[in-house]
Amino acid sequence: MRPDFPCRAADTAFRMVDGEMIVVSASGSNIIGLNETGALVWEMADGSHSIEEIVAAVCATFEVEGEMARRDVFGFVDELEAEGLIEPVAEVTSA
Amino acid sequence: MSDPANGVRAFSGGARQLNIPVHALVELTHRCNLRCFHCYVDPDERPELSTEEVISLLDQLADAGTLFLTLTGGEITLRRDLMKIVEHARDRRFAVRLFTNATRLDEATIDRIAQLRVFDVSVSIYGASRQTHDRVTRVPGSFVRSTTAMRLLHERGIVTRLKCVLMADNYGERQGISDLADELGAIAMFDPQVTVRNDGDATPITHRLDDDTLAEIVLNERVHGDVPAETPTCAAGRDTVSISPSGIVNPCVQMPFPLGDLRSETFEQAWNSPRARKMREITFGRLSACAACEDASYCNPCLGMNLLETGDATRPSSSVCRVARARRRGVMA
Repeated sequence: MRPDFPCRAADTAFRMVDGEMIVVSASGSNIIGLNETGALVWEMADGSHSIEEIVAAVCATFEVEGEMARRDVFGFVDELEAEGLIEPVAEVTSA
Repeated sequence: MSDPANGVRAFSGGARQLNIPVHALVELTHRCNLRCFHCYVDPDERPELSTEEVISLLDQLADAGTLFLTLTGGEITLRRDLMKIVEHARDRRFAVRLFTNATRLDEATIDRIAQLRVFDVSVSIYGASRQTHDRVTRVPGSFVRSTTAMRLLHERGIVTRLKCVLMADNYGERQGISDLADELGAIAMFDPQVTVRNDGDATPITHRLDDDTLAEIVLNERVHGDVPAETPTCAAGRDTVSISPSGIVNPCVQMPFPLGDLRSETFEQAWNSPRARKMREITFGRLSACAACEDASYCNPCLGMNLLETGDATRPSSSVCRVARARRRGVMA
């Protein structure tokens, strides 16, 4: 399930290296490199920005059309979550 | 990219060409509570960097592009500000690795290490038995204390590595050490390379494995094919840097070739100093003595060991040569 407020997994480490955001997680097996757009999404994914705010920031920064940005950001966040790089959404159980 | 080690290599390859210090090893102290007879450390005589100076160093490393940060010693737990340093390192989003003998790690510290999501903790173990390990460390009780902490590290879900330098003194226990690592939930890492001390004292290498034994454990494999002359020999000073407890910037922990001093200049100044540029000029083409060697394709040259043993980073060290020779004779994969 896609989080409304994406938040980077606590066990990740990351650094901007020569224009590329390098992300690694302690529990995962991957080192991934993110381009400029991915880096913006990653930096904003701190749990305090909604996914719609992130879409708006991508639109404003890279001058892309809203629907396309939404599709890309949603897809990217889904990928990050599948890789364990975004905290999963907590299951809400009723009492 | 299923093997994380391959990922690190691929990633480092780009950083190496750009001279970005992606891997930094910070020696927080040279003080140690053990007295291992093969230790390479030549204690830094100057005062250690203060907490504030270490914090400033971490900030500068983050700005320079360092992602993987190894905190090592000496014994890092002898610094009372260790956890403050680790906390800052995680705030700055480093992938933090700790090298320790673990004898002083208590439950509260281990809990905090787990909470901070330290990437891994490597613990030095030199035998499968109390007798062998404590004989190497020359401190009775060290085996029990280290292995007790390792169990706790594993219980808290921390990736734990058992690092063992294989020597004549513990070679007979290597299967037992491997079994011990399994029992402790640790990843066993063996290294047959015993090096001279960083002041050139050759005493440690009297403990190294003999040539025949070495050939029994290394794989018979070429480590590279023909290498263009302009290829860098290793990562030292290119994507790897080491900082001494008092702030001397070296290309590698085993290469005492100061690039600068953080007490009188910034990290960036040291990393881009004339000496740094000079050492980056050393490529395979400069290793003239190695060009015609029949073991060349089995050899990973080490400028630091060359420098320590011969006084010249481009002249081959006997320790490196014997590993290459052993690899040519070694066991079939």
